[in-house]
Amino acid sequence: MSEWTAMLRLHDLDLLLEEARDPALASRLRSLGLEVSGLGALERARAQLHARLDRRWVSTYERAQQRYGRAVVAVRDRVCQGCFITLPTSAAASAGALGVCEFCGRILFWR
Amino acid sequence: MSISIGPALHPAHHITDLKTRRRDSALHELVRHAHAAGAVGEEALLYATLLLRERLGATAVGRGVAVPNARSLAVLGPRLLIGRSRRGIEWGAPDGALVHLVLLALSPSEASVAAHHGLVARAVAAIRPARVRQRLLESEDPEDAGGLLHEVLP
Repeated sequence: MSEWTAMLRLHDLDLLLEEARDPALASRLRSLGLEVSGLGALERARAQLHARLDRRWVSTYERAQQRYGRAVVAVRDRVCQGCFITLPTSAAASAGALGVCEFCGRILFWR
Repeated sequence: MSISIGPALHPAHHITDLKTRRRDSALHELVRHAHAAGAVGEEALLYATLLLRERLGATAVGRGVAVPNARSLAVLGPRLLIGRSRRGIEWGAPDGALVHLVLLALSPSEASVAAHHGLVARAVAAIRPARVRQRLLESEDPEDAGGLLHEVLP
């Protein structure tokens, strides 16, 4: 698995953990008939993804997550969907690889 | 906040018969279908996220229904896909029943938890009545199935 793939999976997993760790949200899911019992398995999966990432990327991810709640954002029409600033044309070269919005510091996901 | 899922019920998002009897393969088939219909970008990412959701706990809600769901960077907009299995899929349902109807509820990563749970809740509520499940199981036409679900979605 590439570092890029690990980063995207970590982001999606954190969205899932956001639901699973919150007792009120987990209870809502249970009330719909959905099982929420494997929090430990998800925490282990997170630790494995974490271990695949370079420390520099982990700290970029955690800094952005702490600051904004979500560390990875999509780019649409060269606009960062986190801060809505148009990225320079040179930034498009990072499509398919890990890159950071030079304005807000979020990790960019080019669609 | 409630998500509008009108366009999500396009007939292209209905699989009349899932080919597999295994949960993971059924999820893969639905993801491939969603990708082909232009609803999903990174197929592999969404598939991995759905498998993680199943590790959290089974999304089969009983009475032959499963509502796998995800918020993901791979999803381009809110979507509800319908998959049907004549033979049934082993999904670890609380009542032990095989799953014959799969409603895959997808939200983009930008969606709030509340909006995503709202989408899941609406899908679960829509298929609660036995007559709706029966009609969805019997429907041969994706447009009918989509139309019916659209009618009954709260």
